[in-house]
Amino acid sequence: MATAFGSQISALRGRRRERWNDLSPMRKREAKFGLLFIAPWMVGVLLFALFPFVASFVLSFTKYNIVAPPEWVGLEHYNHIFTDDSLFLKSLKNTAVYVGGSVAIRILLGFGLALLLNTKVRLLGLWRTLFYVPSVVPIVALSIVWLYVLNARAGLLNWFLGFFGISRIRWFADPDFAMLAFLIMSTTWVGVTMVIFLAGLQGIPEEYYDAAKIDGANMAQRLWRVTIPLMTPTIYLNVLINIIGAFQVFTQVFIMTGGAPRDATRTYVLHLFDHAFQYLPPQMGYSSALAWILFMIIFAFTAVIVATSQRWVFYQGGEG
Amino acid sequence: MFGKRTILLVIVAVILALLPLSMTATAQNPDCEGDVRLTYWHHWGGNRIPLQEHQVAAFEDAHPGVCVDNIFLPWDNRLQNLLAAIAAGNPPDVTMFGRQDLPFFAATESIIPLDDYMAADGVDPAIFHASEFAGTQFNGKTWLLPLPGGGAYNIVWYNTDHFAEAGIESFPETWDEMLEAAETLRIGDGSFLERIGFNAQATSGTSAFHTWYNANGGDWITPDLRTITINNEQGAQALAFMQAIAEINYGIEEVNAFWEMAGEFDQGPLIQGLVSMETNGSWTLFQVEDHAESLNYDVAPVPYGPNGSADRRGTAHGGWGYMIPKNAAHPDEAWKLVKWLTAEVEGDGACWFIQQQQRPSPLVDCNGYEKDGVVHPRAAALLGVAALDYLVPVAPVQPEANQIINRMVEDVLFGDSSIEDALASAEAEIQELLDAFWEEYG
Repeated sequence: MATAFGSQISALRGRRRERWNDLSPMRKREAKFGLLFIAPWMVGVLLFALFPFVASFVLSFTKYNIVAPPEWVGLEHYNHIFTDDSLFLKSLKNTAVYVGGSVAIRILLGFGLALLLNTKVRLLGLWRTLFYVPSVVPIVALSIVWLYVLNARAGLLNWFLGFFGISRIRWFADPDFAMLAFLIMSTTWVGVTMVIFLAGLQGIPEEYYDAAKIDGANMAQRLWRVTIPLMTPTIYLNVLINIIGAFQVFTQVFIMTGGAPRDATRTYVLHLFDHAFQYLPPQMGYSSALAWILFMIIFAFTAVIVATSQRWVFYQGGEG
Repeated sequence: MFGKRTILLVIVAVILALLPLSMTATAQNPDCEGDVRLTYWHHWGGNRIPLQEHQVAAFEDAHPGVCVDNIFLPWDNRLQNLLAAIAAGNPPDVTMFGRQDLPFFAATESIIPLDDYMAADGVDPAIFHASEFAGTQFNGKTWLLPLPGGGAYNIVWYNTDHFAEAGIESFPETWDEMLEAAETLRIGDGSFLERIGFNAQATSGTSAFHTWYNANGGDWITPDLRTITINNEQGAQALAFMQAIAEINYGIEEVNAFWEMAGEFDQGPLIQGLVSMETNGSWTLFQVEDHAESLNYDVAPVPYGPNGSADRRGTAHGGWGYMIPKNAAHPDEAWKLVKWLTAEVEGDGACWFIQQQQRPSPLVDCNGYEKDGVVHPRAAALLGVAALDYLVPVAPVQPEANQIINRMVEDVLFGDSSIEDALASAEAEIQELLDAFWEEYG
């Protein structure tokens, strides 16, 4: 996979840059349509991604209440965040717990499901669909469903746990369990991870397994020696996607608890959102500073994973 | 560079893509013709939407040449929508507005003062109840006109069958009596609630602490809105009362878990029989009538604390109103709409709209409980409770202050802080915010 991709890049690099006037009428027509089709995306990126990205960085050094022009305050917001904002650390800690828990759950569960659904079981399509469908349900509807599932008194989960002698858990009322409830809820999106793993599994040539079988490898050895090493690029991708997504957890917390109880579910983005849109005067500059700190944290995590990937990610064809 | 056919294709594609966006919750009267088209935002959902459409159509009939785009927006996102529109220089001409949001918008003059319009049209502030009109003021100017009422939020609705079963003959007047009644009416096995007698955390309008602090004679902020005053005996007693009620109900976690079963409208705790006494606003009347016709109930004012008094019970705090943002395209016509929505006693204006909902009107000459000439049998009782409301001013930093106060209450109820420490910490934190506000906007 990596080899093919690398060769395409090399081919592109080697291609001579063509001038507009040198192009044939056919190529010019193709180029026009290419530009035309990419234009909405380019406009979207420039207006709704790149501009806010740069603007938020500048705003993070200002006091900005939206209705009046921004006022330059230098590093004041960053200083306040690190020295005087007790909810910054609290929300960061909550988010870290969510990131660690939900990424682990989604990788392990997603990989396990993908392994199961990569076998020749009956109604394979139905199973794959069933596990994937929750991922495409709007998060507001999902949140309402999970509020019923995790209801402390009449919830499905407590009813189920009762069969194992586990007494009633007050999921969203108990600060010790509220974040765990969101981690359980994060299994909803395991279908996305599963589908990516499935694609990876189906890219592993059967010959490798055949060779391992001939060498006497049992199922566990084939999983450990063949499947997992060859799945590391997919694991790598899933870990990155899930970490970046989990750091930005917001909607379900906003809808279901608003950060309660005892700020046990106050996530970083919820804290940021409150400063921007819940408090008056609006603190857009402060929120921007919070956003940039989150960006740097995510960037650092991503950089570490990318930097260490050469040690644990193996590509077919020997590149690693 | 591009042929005509290509450009045409692109235009058609863009139109098709934008078509769904045009199908928003905007109501336009197709029969209205006029040079002026006002944009009007409101948050009256549910069965109030047809009432709004009727009221706006009546305005258009009464003001030839002025048409209104009547747009319903969710209340929860009101600040994002309004701030974004103001920042973009394209605000609505008239918008519904939370009185709790007033200080910031007024201090930054992001909305238009209405005093000159009122004087020119002879709209006398005395047509509104004084406590309602007080909530429209900031720095000596009037920035919005009120509707609906900002009071009648803290009415206790109680199940008279539960009272009869428990042998309680009269509704508790004081906190001591309330503690006794709450314990008598509660049903549970010591850790698992079957029914709550009373939940002191569930109030409406203000935070629960504000409600009990007010009922204990406490003024949480000075009249000049510059100093917070909660760290005192009244505050400590209010927190102790909330703590005692939570303990009667087996602790805060059990109360919150129990309350998860309650929702709004037909899922309301009183309607479901989950509580014997519920503190809620005047709108509970139509909820009960719509969803629990057979419920035997009565209403009473919230009980008062050891430092409180019998004639100061509920809170008149916040509420809604209508205002005109700065840069509104048609401010003069917008004023006519604001007046129609808030001050019009005759026809299908402000009074009619409130009467259709059977709730208190901010207008002195409008009995909100008189619908189609018939006065609701509960009107006297409800207005009697509302008459004991006391104005609790909105702080310029109210939303963040509310969060701090809720955190303070949780600190105490979860046993993480003493009452004294929690009060001192919350007061200092809110005061710091307040000082910063006045330093910048004072």
